[in-house]
Amino acid sequence: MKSLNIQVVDDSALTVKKITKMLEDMGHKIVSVSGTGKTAVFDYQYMKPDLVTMDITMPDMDGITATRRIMDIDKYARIVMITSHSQKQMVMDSIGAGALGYVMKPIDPEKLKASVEKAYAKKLKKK
Amino acid sequence: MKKPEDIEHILEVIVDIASDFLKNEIGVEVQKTNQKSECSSYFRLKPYTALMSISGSFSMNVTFSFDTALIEQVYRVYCHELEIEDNERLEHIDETASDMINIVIGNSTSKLAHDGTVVQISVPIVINEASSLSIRDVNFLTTTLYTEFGDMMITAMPNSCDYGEEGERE
Repeated sequence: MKSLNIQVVDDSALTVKKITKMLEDMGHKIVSVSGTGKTAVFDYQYMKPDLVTMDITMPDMDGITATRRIMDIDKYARIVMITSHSQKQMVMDSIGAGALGYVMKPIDPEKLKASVEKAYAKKLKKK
Repeated sequence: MKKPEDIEHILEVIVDIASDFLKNEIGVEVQKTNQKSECSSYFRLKPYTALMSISGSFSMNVTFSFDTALIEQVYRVYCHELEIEDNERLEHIDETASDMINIVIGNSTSKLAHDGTVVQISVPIVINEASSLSIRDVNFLTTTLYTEFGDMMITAMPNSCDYGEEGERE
């Protein structure tokens, strides 16, 4: 798969480092890191990444709301949720908001890779 | 959610997932556990404590309080592949505690939200180098997890909840 420009959204600097390392090891490039939902929406408009990894629990705006806002801006946005929430309803809400995948923390690199590839392929079909 | 068995069940789920995290992600075995219920205005803390609030179909605060050697072992394993500058170390130990409580509570939510209601969890707060918390009229239930690197106390503090007698059991 081609190298993607990815925006990482998470309020934990440590989680950002872990996700960044995993994605860079897969050959992707991190073009933006956002620590809150609001900055994620703002940064997305300027960076126009190929894919976004989105946390759910963040200060100021949660990841599901941020996903909805990004989808309002760009209906072709590719967003993969990366979160510790395991409730069915939370998964449904994320998918309903427009997320194309869901990876549970602690993050398994293989599951992240599969989810990123699946999300990228899904959106290519729609375009 | 005011029955003692509910609080015990919640703590049991959290303790099971925390034990699995320590074993599977960090390689640290929980050797034994000990549960204690208390009603006190004084809550003793270990050197590293992460606190999180749960709200929704039930409401409570949960703390993970670590001995220094244990959180440092968790940090060493959790961050072993990352390049971390010396000046980032303390911040990342805090974030390790914060990530751990976030993952454990987050992973517990589907089992805890038994009625299907969405449970919200707060952003974790880390308390460093405090020896105690002063609280008013709170009953809390603590399970201590013993490992070769030291202990970790997981405490559930229900909001406005009366349950059980003070006591201790293994």
